[in-house]
Amino acid sequence: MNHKIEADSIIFDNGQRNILSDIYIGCKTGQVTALLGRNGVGKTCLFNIIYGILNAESKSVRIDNKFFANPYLHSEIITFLPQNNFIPKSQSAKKVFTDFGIHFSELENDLPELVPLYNMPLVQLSVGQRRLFEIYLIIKSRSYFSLLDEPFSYLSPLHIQQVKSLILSERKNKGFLITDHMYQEILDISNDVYVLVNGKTHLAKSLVDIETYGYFTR
Amino acid sequence: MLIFLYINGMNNYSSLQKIRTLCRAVFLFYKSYMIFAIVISLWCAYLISNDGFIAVKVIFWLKISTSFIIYFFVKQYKKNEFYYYRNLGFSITVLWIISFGIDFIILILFLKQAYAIK
Repeated sequence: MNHKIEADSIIFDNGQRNILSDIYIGCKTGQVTALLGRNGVGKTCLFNIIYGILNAESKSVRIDNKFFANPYLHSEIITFLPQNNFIPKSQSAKKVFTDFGIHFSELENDLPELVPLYNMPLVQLSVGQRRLFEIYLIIKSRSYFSLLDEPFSYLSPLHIQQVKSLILSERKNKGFLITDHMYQEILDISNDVYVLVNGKTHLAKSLVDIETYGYFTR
Repeated sequence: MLIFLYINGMNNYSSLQKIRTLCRAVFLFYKSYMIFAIVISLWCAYLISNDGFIAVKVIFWLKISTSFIIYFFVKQYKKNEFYYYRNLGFSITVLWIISFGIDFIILILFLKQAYAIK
C-alpha cells in the first residue's frame, strides 16, 4: 500500500526573524523528496517540525490525509536521521540492530565491510563508521518514511555511493525526505526537489530553477 | 498498567520484543545519569543513618534539587541521543518518568536499609 506525507501551513520564527512562512513539502512511499537551501534557511527546523519535536506557531503534518501532532511517537510511520551522531556510544551495533529488529544478514549483504565492527561498542569506531551504521539503521528502519538530515556528511565518496544505492533499493518499501549540501548526490536519487528560500518552499523542476532560487551559481 | 498501555502503541514489535526494548531503553536512559543519582542516594542514606527522621526534609530537597540538575544536564548534553529513543517510538517524557521512578525506588531502598542499620 502506498502512503503519503504532507506538511504545509507551517509558520515558525525564532523570536527575531521569520524562519518559515509558506511551506509545502510532500513525499510518497517509493519516492525520494529532496529539500535544498542555503545554510540557516531553516531546513533542519522544518524537518524537526515535521517530526513533531519542534513547536511551530502553526503547522499541518498529515500522513495519509490524517493529521499528526507528534509523528515521532509513531516509529512505525516515521524515523529521523539527525545531523550528528545519535546512538549512545556505549552501545554496539548488534544491540542497536536488535532493538530496531534489523537482521545481521541484511548488513552482511548490504555493507559487508561493517561486519567486523558489528560487536564493537560504537565509541571505538571512527565518526564516519558510526555515521554509516546510523544511516544504515534509519534507511532500513521499518517505517513508511525516513527524514535524513545531511546523510552524506562524514562519509567517504565510496560510502556515499553505497548509501545512495541503499536509498534507491529501500525506496520500494518507504519514502525518503532528504536534505544535504551535496546537491549533485541528492539530485541523482531524488524524484522531487524543493528549494527553501526566504521561508518558502519552491518546487524545482530543473537545475536552472535551483539556480534561479539562488541555491548555487554556475 | 500504564507501561503496558504505552507499549501497545509500539506497533512495530511483538509483545515480548516490546517489553524487552522498553526495558533496555529505560536502562540505557537511566544509565546516562545513574552514577550521579546513586551517589546522591547514598549521601541521603548516610544522612538518615546519622540523623534519623529529622533528615527527611533535607533529603527531600536534596533529591529534588539534584534531580533538576540531572534533568537540565542530560537535556543539554545528551539531547542528540534523544533521537535514538524517539526512533524506537518512545516519548522522552515517559522515559524521564520511568527512570526517575526507578531512581526514587532505589532511594527508598537505600533509606530503608540505612535506617535499619542505624
